[in-house]
Amino acid sequence: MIKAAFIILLLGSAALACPLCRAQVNAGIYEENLVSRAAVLFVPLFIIAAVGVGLFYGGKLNLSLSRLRINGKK
Amino acid sequence: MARNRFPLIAAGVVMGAGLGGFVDGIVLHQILQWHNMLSAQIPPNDLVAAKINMFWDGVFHAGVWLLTVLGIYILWFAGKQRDVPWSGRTYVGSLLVGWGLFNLIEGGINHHYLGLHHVYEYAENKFAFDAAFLGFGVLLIIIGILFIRTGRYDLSARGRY
Repeated sequence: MIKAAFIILLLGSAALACPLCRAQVNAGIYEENLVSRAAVLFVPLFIIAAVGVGLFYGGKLNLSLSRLRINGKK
Repeated sequence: MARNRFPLIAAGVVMGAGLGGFVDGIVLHQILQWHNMLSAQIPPNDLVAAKINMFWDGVFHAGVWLLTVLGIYILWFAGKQRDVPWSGRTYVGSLLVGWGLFNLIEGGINHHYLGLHHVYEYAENKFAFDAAFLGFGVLLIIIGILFIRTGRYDLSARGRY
């Protein structure tokens, strides 16, 4: 019974669709919005990377400024 | 010598955001299948739409992988600097802040502003899940900041070797 159901599932349209729908999938991915979609998708990640780099150099800047203030007082 | 905790915090924030992205992708996209990257625009109701979403999920995973690599890169530099205190509490706190930041930025832009997908695409009240995602992000940031604050007493540096 289970084997029969499994075979029916494999022979069903979903399992067979992969080679058949490849052209449709490619058309859905590599379309005119490909670059803009990729850019939009990476926006949050770029922002986080910028925050990280800013924190990395922000600390150095903070240290340099505090050293300048100390030297100024002397 | 003056202490500079920022490189370690930067490494933790970036790596935490990358790992938070993996949690989103692995748990919500793949295991629970609550949403996919473009599931609000291209609902994965048939194999073609599901495979298109699968492609964009892969692009998203590639992005968070790059973010994680950047975090490792910054951590490497932080570990070589004498003035950076090597604090587990600061680092764990920064990881949590990064994860929370990921939820806020990704959720704010992709869920609320652009509407690429919602946290639970098949819920009647999608906004509640989107808001909970942001709320969880805020909670992670608060816990992370508390960890970072306790880490300010850790002063020993890893140093050059």
